[in-house]
Formats: sequence, C-alpha cells, structure tokens
Amino acid sequence: MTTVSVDGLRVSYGKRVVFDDLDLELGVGVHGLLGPNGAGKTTLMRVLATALHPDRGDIRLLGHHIGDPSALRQARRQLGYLPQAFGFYPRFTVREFVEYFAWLKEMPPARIPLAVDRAIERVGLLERADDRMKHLSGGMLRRAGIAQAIVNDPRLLLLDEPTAGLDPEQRVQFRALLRELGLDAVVLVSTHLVEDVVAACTRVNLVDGGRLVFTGLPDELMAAGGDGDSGDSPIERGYTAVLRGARTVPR
Amino acid sequence: MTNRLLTLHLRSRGAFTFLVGVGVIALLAWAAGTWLASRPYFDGPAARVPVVALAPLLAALLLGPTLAGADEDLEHSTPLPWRAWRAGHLLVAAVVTAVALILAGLRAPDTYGAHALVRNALGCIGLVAGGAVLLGARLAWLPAFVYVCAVYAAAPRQTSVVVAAWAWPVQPSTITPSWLTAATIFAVGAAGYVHGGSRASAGRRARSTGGP
Repeated sequence: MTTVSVDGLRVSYGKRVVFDDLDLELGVGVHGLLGPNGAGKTTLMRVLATALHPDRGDIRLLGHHIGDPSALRQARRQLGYLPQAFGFYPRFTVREFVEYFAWLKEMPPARIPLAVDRAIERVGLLERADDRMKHLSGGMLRRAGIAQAIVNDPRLLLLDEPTAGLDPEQRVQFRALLRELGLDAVVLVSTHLVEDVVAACTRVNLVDGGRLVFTGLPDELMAAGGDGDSGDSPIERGYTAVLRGARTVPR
Repeated sequence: MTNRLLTLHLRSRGAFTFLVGVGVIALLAWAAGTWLASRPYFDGPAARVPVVALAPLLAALLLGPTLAGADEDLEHSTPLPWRAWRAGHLLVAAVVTAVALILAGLRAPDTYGAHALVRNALGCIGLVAGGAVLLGARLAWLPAFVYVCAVYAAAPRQTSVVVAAWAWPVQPSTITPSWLTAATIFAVGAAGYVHGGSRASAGRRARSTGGP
C-alpha cells in the first residue's frame, strides 16, 4: 500500500535545481535513502517533512494532499522528523524537549506523559531524562532527537542521518528500533552508512544529481555490483555501480 | 492550548530573560530620564531624547532572539497553528514592552516621555520583526540597531514632514508623521513575521513553509 506519493517534484534553490520531475512512492516499511553529498537527500526529507515548499509537484502523505491546509495539519499530526543537524533547546531537559514536541504534534494531553517516557526509554536515554540538553554528548542529543520524532507513534517517520554520532552498540540498538517502527509505519532513513541499509531497510532508494536512480530491495542493489566495482562490501559495490551507470546516461 | 504548552513555548523562546531584560531597561530608562530632566544645564524633560531613542531599541533587541525556536524546520513540521502563535507572541511582547516603557516615562509624557517611548517601541519592534524575516532571529537586531543609531547620530531636530517620517526615533511625540512611520514599520514587520516566521538558519534557506 502506497502511503507516500510524490509526483513531478521540482525544488530549486535560486538558480540551482535540486529536483526536477521526481517521482517517488513509499509504502509501509523501512526505506533507505542513499546518495552522494549534494544529491538532494536532505532537501527531499525537508519537502516530505513539510518544512520546505517545492516549486511544484503533487505530494500525498498518508492519504493527505499537503496543498490543502486542513489535510496538511492532519498529516503533520502523524509525522515524525529528525533533521540532519537539529537545533536543540539548551534550557530544556530531555524530558521537556520530548514533551514540548508531543504538545506541538497536538497529542491528546492525557497520553503525553506516558508517551514521553516510552519514547525516551526506546532510545535508551531514560537515565538521562532529567539532564539538561546542553550537558548531553553528540550521540545523546541525536537520540533525544529521535525520541521527539517517535513520541507521537508517527505513521510517517523521516530520519535524516540518524546514526551520525552514535557508537556501534547504539547503532545496533537503533537498527532494531527501526525494524520495529517499520512494521506499521513508513520510515525513510537518509544515511551514508550503507551497512545500516542492509541491516535495517526493506527497500532502498538511491538519488544522484536530483534524480532517483535506483529503487528496489537491498539485495537488488547488492546484485548490481560486480567484482570490478569499487567498494569493500557487496552493497558498496552495488552502490558505486548504480551511480556509475546513472552518470553515463544523458540527462 | 494548555498552560503546560504555553510554559514550554515561552521557555523555548527565552521569554523570561526577555521579561527581566525589559524590566531592567525600563528601570534604567526611568532613572536616566529623571536624571537628565532634572539637570539645570539641560532643557528639562526635552533632554530625554537619548532615553527615548535607546530604551525602546534595547528592548526590541532583546526581543529578537525570542522570535524563533532552536530549530525552525523541526517546529514548522508540526501541526500547531504557528501564524496565530507568532501573532500572539509578537503582540504580547509589544504590549509588555510598551507598558514597561510607559511606566518609565510617565513624567511629562508628551515631551520625550511615555508617548514617544511607545511610538519608538512600535517602530523598533517592527524593525526587529522584519529583521527576523530577512536575516533570521540571530541577526534580527541588526537593522533596528543600525537605523536608530544612524538617525540618532544624524540628530535631525527639524519637524518637516519628510524629516519627521524618516527620523521618527528622535521626533517629539506630537509630530503625526513620526507616528505614521513607526506604525507602518510595525505593521509591515509584524505581518511579515506572522506570515513567514523567522528566516531559517544558513543551509536551510530556500522557502521554509513558516508553518500554517
């Protein structure tokens, strides 16, 4: 079942066109979003998070057409978003930060205290829940950001480089959380860490130069690579092979 | 809306620092105004021009950082009716600033006193709100600071319509064009801020939605 649909997306920053006529469809599950720096991953995340207006394009999130203000508000209630570099509130404790976003997402007030504790527990920060955010390490801040993204049990979860700053043990735990979240939600994870994609994603999307150059299963991406392609693992070889192939096709 | 959401919102904006700051500025403005007006070698209450120009400017500068949260993208992806919240935030801040400055200038209010303080608070807040739209909350102070300092340094005291319009921060409060300019700046700055919010930080420029 398609729950995110993007049709004919165009986004530009001044004269620089990031996407032109991009189509994308996502269903329930964990979707990896790969691509080199500047490919447009963060821009796509911002558009889907409704934080950035595209120049044109038809976008439906969870059945809601986001051009309609009332539908946009409905979609935002079911949305979770972690930006690539998120600004945190130094005066807030972790609990207050997550609670603030629970309120902003218009959760029923009676559900908020339990939902906040559950989200913090799921990212392993319960022992630091009452610490001020300015006292947290980079990895802990990232986990607090993930907690605010999942506090409302979103049906659409957008995570822009969520594992940046996490240690290996935390990354393993985070992948397990991703798999759990992807059972009944659309989860889109932008990352440079292809091993995260193999371990946690049900599908992979690869963007390059503002185009979607691959969409399929992780196994299919791995199969696209050959022994002659650069990379230390099958998925890295598949990644470089697909990029090389896409760049030989005239635009 | 609940009290808890309001409390968290105000804390996220550093509103309490702003309130304390405005209180201190009002106190200093009252003390400085009283001292200047009582000096025998000055021109009585009319000697309060520096206070009338600088106190509203400082209060508006304190307002700048409160006009955005720590992460605009993150906040704007939530369903809260942000335009209404921004309008409320700015209007309440303007009223608080105006009331504090009125109390500081009650003595001879129409001779560089409370009236001119309110007019300048309107104009400076409008400049800061517009600055937030164009430059982001961190640099929102810049246009107001540059403009008011430039006008104060130029020190035009004529009361022609044109001079009164551009030099509104140092005009007597009885000059109607100075009020019109300040009110227009406030209206334009507030409308821009309410509609689009503070400009996103560098790297996230493009067209932020600004929330509903």
